[in-house]
Formats: sequence, structure tokens, C-alpha cells
Amino acid sequence: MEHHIKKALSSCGVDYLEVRIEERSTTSVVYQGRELEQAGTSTSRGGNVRALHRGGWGFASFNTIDQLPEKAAEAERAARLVGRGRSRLAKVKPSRATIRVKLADDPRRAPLKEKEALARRYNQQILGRPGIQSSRVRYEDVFKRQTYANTEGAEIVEERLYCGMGFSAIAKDGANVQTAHDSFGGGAIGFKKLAKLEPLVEQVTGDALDLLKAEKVEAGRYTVVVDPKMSGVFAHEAFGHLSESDHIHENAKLRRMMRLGRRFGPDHLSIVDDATIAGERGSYHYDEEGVPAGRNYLIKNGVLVGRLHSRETAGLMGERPTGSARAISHQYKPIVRMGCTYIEPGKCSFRRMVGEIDRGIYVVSALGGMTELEMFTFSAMKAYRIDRGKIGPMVRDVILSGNVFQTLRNIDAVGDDLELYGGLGGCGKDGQMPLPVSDGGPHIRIRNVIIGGR
Amino acid sequence: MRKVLEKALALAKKRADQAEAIAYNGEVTPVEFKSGKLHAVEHKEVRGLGLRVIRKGRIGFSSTTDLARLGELVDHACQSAAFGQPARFQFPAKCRPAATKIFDRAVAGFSVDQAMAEGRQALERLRAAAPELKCDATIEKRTYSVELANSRGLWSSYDKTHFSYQLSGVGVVDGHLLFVGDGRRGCGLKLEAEAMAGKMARLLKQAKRSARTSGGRVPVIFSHEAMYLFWMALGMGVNGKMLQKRSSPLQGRLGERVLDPRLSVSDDPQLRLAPGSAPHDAEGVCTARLPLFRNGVFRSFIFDLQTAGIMGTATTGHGQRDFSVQPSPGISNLVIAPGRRPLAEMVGSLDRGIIIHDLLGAGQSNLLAGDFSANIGLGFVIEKGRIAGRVKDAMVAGNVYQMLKGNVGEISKETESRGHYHTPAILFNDVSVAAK
Repeated sequence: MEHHIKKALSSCGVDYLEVRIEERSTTSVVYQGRELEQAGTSTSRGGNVRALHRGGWGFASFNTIDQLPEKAAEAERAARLVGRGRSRLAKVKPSRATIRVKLADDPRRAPLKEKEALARRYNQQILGRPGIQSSRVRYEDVFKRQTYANTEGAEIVEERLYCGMGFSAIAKDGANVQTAHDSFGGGAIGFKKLAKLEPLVEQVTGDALDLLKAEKVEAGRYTVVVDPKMSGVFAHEAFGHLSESDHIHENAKLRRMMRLGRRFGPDHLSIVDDATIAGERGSYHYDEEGVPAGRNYLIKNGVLVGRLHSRETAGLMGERPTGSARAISHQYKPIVRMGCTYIEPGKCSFRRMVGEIDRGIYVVSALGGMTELEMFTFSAMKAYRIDRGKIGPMVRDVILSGNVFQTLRNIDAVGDDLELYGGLGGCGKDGQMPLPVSDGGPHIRIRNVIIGGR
Repeated sequence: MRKVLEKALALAKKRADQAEAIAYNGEVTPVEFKSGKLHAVEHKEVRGLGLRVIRKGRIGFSSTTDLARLGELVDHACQSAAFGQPARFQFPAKCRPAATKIFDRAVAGFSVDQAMAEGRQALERLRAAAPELKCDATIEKRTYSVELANSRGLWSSYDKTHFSYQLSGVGVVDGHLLFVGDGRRGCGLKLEAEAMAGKMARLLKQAKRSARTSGGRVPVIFSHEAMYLFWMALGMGVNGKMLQKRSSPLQGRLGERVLDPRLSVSDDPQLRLAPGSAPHDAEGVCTARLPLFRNGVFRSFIFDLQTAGIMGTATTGHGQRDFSVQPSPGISNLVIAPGRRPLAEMVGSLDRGIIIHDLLGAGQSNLLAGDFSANIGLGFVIEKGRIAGRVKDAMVAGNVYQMLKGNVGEISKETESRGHYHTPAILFNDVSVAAK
């Protein structure tokens, strides 16, 4: 393999060329209802060549490593077709590194039998509660070894391991069907850490049953307190994606909107993307351009101070590369992505935050989020009414929607707690899904949030 | 690939009672323009093998893209069978593939140079028609072959093409960001840039004015591109797997009128050049058009072999997958019968209402139960039969089943192909809209 890579790099006739080879092994166990849907291991192996010439990119991916020379030629040809200007990659010092996963309690060493037993046990826990209709329990570990080299001399081998479990409980009463989810996981966590998730499973099951009895929320404008999970979804979905420079550098209007130094929120608001936190699902050592991962402030004390870059967007915009070019697999080229994005904690206690609200909604956990530039829509997994400073009955079908800039300005309290979540999910962008990321934050309070309902 | 399949089956048969192998081998070539300029040309090879075995009566599965390690693949599949579900089916011994048109020579022969020229032309057209917008274009061609074989003697292979042509534009219009787009997707070569650009320009023009809506309960037209939400929900509801898991709201309702009597919905795996068409499903079972709802009456769930076996019925030939996962029931092409009224008349008939073209965040609701709540990404207020201006900061909510049963005003005469859905636009009389 090394021989093929060296040859492709040395015979290249374009401005820049890189090769990435990936080996991957995924073990998963899935229970859905009473049935085991999947238990086993699948593997993949493949690679890609990306070439840059006169500002144009060419890309070719393959499954057979022997084909590397032909694919390199194909990528070069494509780059020449596209290139009409000047290649502008921000300069980085070429890295040479080998990063191996070293874990005392490596999940890859646990036999499939134990993984199946673990999933079965939690699945029985969910199905054992009266009123529960169905369930979904997923165990997954993914091991990936990536070999990277480019014409500037970078040579990196990085191993990554992701492991976790996801739980869904589906409760049903007549035509009323309610689902609750949660997951636990991260990068390189030990197998034994998954052995004591009963409280989490109990919570998910209870939530699904409680949602059956919850009333639909009344549509309207509310003061909202969001929990750390929803706060993370907000940091990632509503704001984080706008900080991805591939969109910014292409669009002059967005560039003006995202002008560094502009005030976006109150003094007590800071948002950071940090891909260097050990054990987080969104962490890595080097991105898919061989640039070291970083800790990058996006908003500091309410002011926009930074954004996420690939080498190209950094070069085009004259800014510092941030190590944010990521790809979900060898079939995709790296694009600007987040790692672990969170709102930094402030000083307000949860009790005070809620206590000051006359009529509001407390949103707990997110089912998902979607954005279209400045507009966002997030659905809560569950929520509670807040009446006269006290948390009241559970409500369901709470979907928050709004304009991110207005919403950031409307954050009037930032909690003194912080939680990060990686779970088992991932982020989607430009057809690349799921990319392992983490997000989180403290509890935050937002004024004037529009909530859809009936 | 036939040799690889045969080798995998031979290895598997030494250790399992039955085996089935499926191979995908193909190439994807996207040509991508960003902000009016050629951005990237890619070539992607996608090749892999999935192996399903039945060993001691239980199902095992594994997949790989590394065809040099078939021994490891068989190991993984057999290990998996130690825990797998008891098999409630036999692999079919024969398959008579339907003569479905899913391969278009024009797509297979469409070169990167042609895609580049086409994209450039389309973007020039857009520049003239909608100068305020920054426009992107993606023209993606995919050619692949699927080979399926099992230890009972079935062997089948087919070639398929896919062609996807997407145009989109973004700009700040009347102080708000506007996203407009249009696209074509199917097995055939459809170069309809003129129509797509025309539509985008029309939407842009309409979006230049904004109009207020007070919200409440109003008549709402879901245009062709917004109807996917309803069909996605029905697709989940008719899924035999959801029935098996007892989470389908359609459970126990076969023969019952669950939709408006004007609504007939079928699944058609033989639809010419449609993206979900195939000569047989991913387990080698052939099918024809299957009525799911006829005149509003619920007629059938969809099944694959194992799900049908568990439910004590026959497969409907809806086993779907790529090589890396086990089959599960899935819609091929959902065809919704058209109504009688032209869309323009439907708009013209409304004194006050809203027409929705794009929904944001609709997939996050409890769609299985039919519930949805979504931001109106692109929609217009209708006043006295005319488009008055763009709706901003508003959400729409409802229940798919309730709306399709008791709330249908009109179904448009025109149908459009939107991916796997061939749908009319529908006017609902009374829909909940929340506005700021």
C-alpha cells in the first residue's frame, strides 16, 4: 500500500494531491421490539485521491487499492477540467504522526455474545414496562484506521474507535403513539462503561409512557428554558453550521452577516468548537486534510470571533486553518464540519432561570434539528409548562422555530452547568451523514420563541 | 462479479444450510457547480458484497467491500447466525425478472464534458432569469449493476442508471434569506433546465413581496414538492415491519376507509425509468403494481420475505436494501392518482389561504403517528385567488391521517415526479398555522 501511495504522490503533475486509505470494521447489535434485527460485523476497505490544480478539485474513490495509480490519474484529470484560477491552500506544517487506539477495555475484544446479551438485557428492561408497545436498542462499535499522505509531505496514520448504545421506547395507547430516545457513547470508551445504563434506559421508558398522557402544547410565543442537550443542538444546528466557512466564502451576503467582530448576543454568551476533548465522539487528532484538530472560539463574550475552516477556505479568506475538514468515509471528500460544539457555562442557576418566568416552556432533550441558513426548526423530545416560576405538567409536540440571530440576542440567561453529548448519532451535510460529532452546553433561557402546535 | 458471488456462496454452503449473496458494482460521477462556477468533478467506485446465511435455522448476515477476504465475510455471517432471527422463509429458487425500463443508454453515455456544458448553460439561464440569486447546480450520473444469487439456484442480474439534476439558488430577498430550487431524479436523462430555471425565477418574483398571515386555521395548498411529508408518513404506516412491531397506525384497518374517497395510492415497482423501479426486489421476488389505498380504502401492507413469514402472509416483493444491510420492507415508487382540478384553479378559488412549497424540519415530528409540525421554508399567502406575497416566520402543524381523511378540499389534476413519489398537489380546507 505504501508503495502505491508514494508512487501516486511522486508522479503527480498537479498543484497538490492527497491520498487517503481507510479500513473499517463495524459491529452492531440491533433489537427492535422482541426481535433481534441484526448482530454481527461488517467490514469495508477503500480509499480516495483528491487533486487540486489551479483552484479546481478532482476526486476519485475506489475499493481496490491496486487501482490507486489509475484513480490518481482520474482525479488529476478532473482537477484540470475544473481549475481555472489559482490554488490557495492555507499553509500548514506537514504532520507526520501515528495515532493508535490504546484502550484497556477495548470493545473490539468483547465477544459478540456479550454485546448481544447487553442489548437484550436493556431491551427486556424497556419491554417489561406495561404500556410499552415496542423498542429499539442498538449497540455499535466502529473501528477505523485511516492512512493519509499528501504531496507536501504529511504522513499520518490515525486510528479511531467509536462505541455506544442507543435506546428508543415506543408507548401506545389507542391511536396515540409516543416515542422517546436517548443514547450513550463517545470516542474510545471502554466496553464496561456500557454495563450500567439501567437508569438511562429507565428514563427513556418512563418518558415514552409520560408522553402518552402529555397534552399537546398550545402554539404561540413563549419564554423558553432549554436543557443542555437542546442547548447543544442549538449551538450546533442553528449557529455552528453558519460558522462553516465553505458556505461563507461563497456568499458575499452571508459573509457580511458573519463579519468577525459583530455582536451576536449578550456578554455572557460564548460558543466554542473543540475537537480536542479526550473521549468525545466529535474529537479527532487530525482532520481529513492532515491538519491538527483545534479548539476554536466562534462567539466570545457575545462577539463573533472565529469560524471553521478547511485549508482552502482559510486560504481564500486569509484566515487561520482550524482543522475542520472532515469526511464521513473514503467515498467522500472532506468538507468543513464541526467537532464538539458547545455553549460555555455562565452563572445563572437553573432554579433562578425558571423562577423568573411567569409563563413559559421547559424543553428537555431534542429529537432533532434542521436549519436553512438563519432559520431553524428543532423538535423537543419532551417539554414541561412553566407556570409562575414552577415547572408544571409535561407537554408534547413542542417544536421551536425561529431566526438564529434574533434568538441569540434573546438569550437572557446562561446556566452554571455544562454537559456534552456524543451518543450514537451524527451530523449530516451535503449528503455526508452521519459524521460523529458532539455538542452540548448549559441550561439557557431564551425570550420570545415561537412554538408550533395545534 | 459472478465468479465472486459463486465463490462466496460455495464457501458459505460448507458452513450454512442456505445462503444468498448480493453484489453491487457501480460508479457515481457528480459534476458540481457552486455560486455559478464549476466546483468539482468526482468519480466514485461503489462495490460490495452482502452475504445472508441460514444456519441451524437462524439468519446471519455480513457485508464487505474487500472482495479478497471472502473467508472473513463467511466467518462474520456465520457468527451473526448464532444470534439471528429464526428464518421464517426460504430463499426463492427462481426469479422471472420483469421487463422494466431502468437503464437509459443516454445516461450511461452522458459524459463529464456534456454535464459541464449542461450545467454552465443552466446557470447562465438562471443568471439572466434570477440575477439576485447565487446559484448551485449538481448533475450526477450513476450506473451500476446488481447481482443476486442464492443456494437454491437463483441467479439474476440487472443494470440500472440514475440521473439527478438539481438547481438551487440563495439570496437575500426583502430582508430575508430565500432558498429556491428544483430538480429531476430518475433512471432517464432529463435535461429540463429551462423549466426548472423558469420555476425558480417565478418563485423568486413571488417572494419579493411579503404578506402577513395572522395564522389560525386556514386553507392550505401543499404543492407537489411539499406533499412528500404525507407520503413519507403513509409509507411508514403501510410498512409490514411497522405492523409486525405493532406501531403502525394502520394496524387492524385493512378494508377500512382511512383516506378521502378521492385518494388512490399504489406502489409501482415497474414504473418506467422511475428511481425505485427494478425487475425484482432485493430478494429476487418479482412484483407488479400494488394498490395500497383504493378510493380511500386501505388495501395492503408491504412485506419482504422474513417479515411476511413472521406475519403469516406472503411477501409483496418489497424487500429493499443495498449490499451492506439486510433486506427490510420499503416503498419502490408511490403513485398517487390525480384529481380533477388544475392547480392554478385551486389557487384561484381561495379567498384567503396559503400555498406551501418547502417545509423545514418536517422529518422531526412523530410522523409514524402522522403528526407533523414544520416551519414554512417557502410559502405564499393567497388573497382573493392571487399570490399576495411570501409567508415568513410561520409554522404549519397537523396529522397526516386526519388531514388526508377529512380535510381534503381539492386534488390537483397535474401530477409531478418527486423522487419516489408521483404526486398531485392537495388543498386542505382547514390547517393549523402559527405565525409570529
